[in-house]
Amino acid sequence: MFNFFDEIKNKVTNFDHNLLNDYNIVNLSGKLLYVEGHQGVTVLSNETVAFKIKKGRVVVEGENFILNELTCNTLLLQGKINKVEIF
Amino acid sequence: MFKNRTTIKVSGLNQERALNNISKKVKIFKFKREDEKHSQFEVEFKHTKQVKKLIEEQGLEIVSISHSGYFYKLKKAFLRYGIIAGIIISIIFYIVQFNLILKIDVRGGESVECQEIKNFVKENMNSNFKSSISTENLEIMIKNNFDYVSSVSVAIIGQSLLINLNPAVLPEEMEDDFQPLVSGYDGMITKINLIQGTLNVNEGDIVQKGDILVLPYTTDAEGKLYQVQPKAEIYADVWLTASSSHYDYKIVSLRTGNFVTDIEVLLGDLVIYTNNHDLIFEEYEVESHSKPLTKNLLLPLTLRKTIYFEIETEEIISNFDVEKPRIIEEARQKALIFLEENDIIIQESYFINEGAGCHIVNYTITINKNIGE
Repeated sequence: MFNFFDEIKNKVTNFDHNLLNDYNIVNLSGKLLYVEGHQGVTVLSNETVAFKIKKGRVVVEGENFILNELTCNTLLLQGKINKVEIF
Repeated sequence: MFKNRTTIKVSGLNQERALNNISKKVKIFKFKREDEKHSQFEVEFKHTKQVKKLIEEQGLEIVSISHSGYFYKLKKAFLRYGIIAGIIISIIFYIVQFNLILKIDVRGGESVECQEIKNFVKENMNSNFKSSISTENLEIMIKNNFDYVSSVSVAIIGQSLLINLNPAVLPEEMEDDFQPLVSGYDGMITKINLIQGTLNVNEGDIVQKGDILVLPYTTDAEGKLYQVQPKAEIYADVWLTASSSHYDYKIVSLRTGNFVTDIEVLLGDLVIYTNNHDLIFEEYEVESHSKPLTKNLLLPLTLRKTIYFEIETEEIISNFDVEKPRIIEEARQKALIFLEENDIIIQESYFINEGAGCHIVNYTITINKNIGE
């Protein structure tokens, strides 16, 4: 089965592949944000979504956010994504 | 449309923590924050119960729950229309099965004959549908195929095919098994006119019901016995007796006219409807009647009506001398019940037994009749 992140791994050489197991974020045209490996949502509002990752925290800012899907380690955020910051 | 989802609106603080805990167990869809305290999200329909429990555990309050999707609509429709559909199907089933013969009942013959006729009818019935069964044809077929049936009637009652037989009876002469002539009454013989057989009684004899009057044989001059059908005209004075009692003091129960009716509908022995009332009567009599509501065997519905009549007890003190003519007439009327058509009364008498607070009138009507018929 096709896996987006595996495909990327295979394209890069001399890279610590284990790093890809921490968390992965995909921003699709600033309209959809797919996150894999989050460790819990900390802020949820129409303009801000924040969640924990293994060694830090991610804050997403934008407008009209809808958390389209949330599982224990993935989330799919829909809305106008203006900024993604990692702390 | 095909996704079966439940939309849950919740209110409360620290929803993020609650959401993280819920998402560990079930997938959350389309979470939207309405304001600081309120938000809504979707879960799969099958997880609704589990999520409701989780939300409560997290200290959030559920504001509303709504469902969408085909499965939910199907379930809702099934619950809403299932009962109606069930009733309609039952009615259709009832109508179809009502037109079927489910039981063949043969009456009037020996058990072996009945079974034989039942099997014959089963084999010769084209189908079990009432409309395809010709009772007239069945009657003719049974009469033609069974010699021991003199007449037969076939009827469809409810879902039963009822066959009533009249077995053919051979004349006694043909059976060659003669029975003695016995008395049908208690009485004193007054006149005998022997036609055939050997007399067992004489004029003046007192006989009881069942006593042999004429034996079924004759003896020739050489002492040889010949079996014959006993025949004789034996007249006797027959006493028809009856009694009526009078008590100087008695307690009687009389209905006041007030009553309460309870109705029960039973399916077999199971009560499926009742309108039982609380009884307010101190003393009452009960009458109960049952009648079938349906004539089929699949739905044996019975209506049972129980009527409670209020009664009151009354002490009656009466003098026998005043009541005597009425008591005598009462005893007479009781004796007259035994009188048969064409019986001629030749004497009437009565005597009175007196006990402690009680008088018994014994009334006797004497008639003369042929007791050997």
